[in-house]
Amino acid sequence: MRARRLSILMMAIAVGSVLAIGIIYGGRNLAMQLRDRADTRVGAVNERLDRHLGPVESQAAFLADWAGHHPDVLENPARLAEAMRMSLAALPQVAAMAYVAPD
Amino acid sequence: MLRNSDEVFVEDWSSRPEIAAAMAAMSNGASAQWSPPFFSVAIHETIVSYRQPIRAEGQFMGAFIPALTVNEMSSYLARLSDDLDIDAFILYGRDHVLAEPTMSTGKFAYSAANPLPTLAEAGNPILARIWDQDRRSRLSAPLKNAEAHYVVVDDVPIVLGGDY
Repeated sequence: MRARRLSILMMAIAVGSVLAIGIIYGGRNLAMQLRDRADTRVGAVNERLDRHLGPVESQAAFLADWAGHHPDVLENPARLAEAMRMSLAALPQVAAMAYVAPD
Repeated sequence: MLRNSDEVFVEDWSSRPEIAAAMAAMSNGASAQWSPPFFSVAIHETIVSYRQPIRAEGQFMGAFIPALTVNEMSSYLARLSDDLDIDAFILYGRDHVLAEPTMSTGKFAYSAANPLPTLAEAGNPILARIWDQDRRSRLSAPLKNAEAHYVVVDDVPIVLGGDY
């Protein structure tokens, strides 16, 4: 019997993220239990990606809310840099952080 | 500001149309969103960024933009694939690969002209043939929460499905 394994495909397109799942199988038909397993994997991938990208969104929202309540910090490069540096410390997946002024 | 540097860079991005468009949209009320991938001169790699508007009493005050590299995302997919015993990919559109486990090795030379590898350039036989067959091909056990289709790679049928 050939070994079975699951292959999950994520696809991001211009209108948003979509999820796909692939199953490499050795039989002639796609078995129902493999379908269930695949659906479970889809859910797991969704959850893991949420855990990876969600904190980036949350931290950016927190930082923006904080700056919105303390707009003077946006005129203070040293304080702004410190706040952004602290945010990076909490997000090891983020390589860089920028503040873009409205003008 | 780069993670691996203490230096703070100040640059004029007003001439960059994609930044200007994003800032204009946020100024007009657009909410936070992820950007399309683009090549970063500062990081020397393709990145995706999250554009978070700052508002004070309804007035647009600018935006915070954290950025992730595609190599980092590929590295994450590699760990995820190992943990779940799967092969994971992120495509951008129909023809380009945003992240794939082996891309974390730095095998692809990103540039402004070629920010992402094509399906053929990614070096993954499944990705290379992912659209070979009609994605509406009938399956005996369709997924509950996704569309599905199949391709054949090295005589092994590979079923792919999703909401696409």
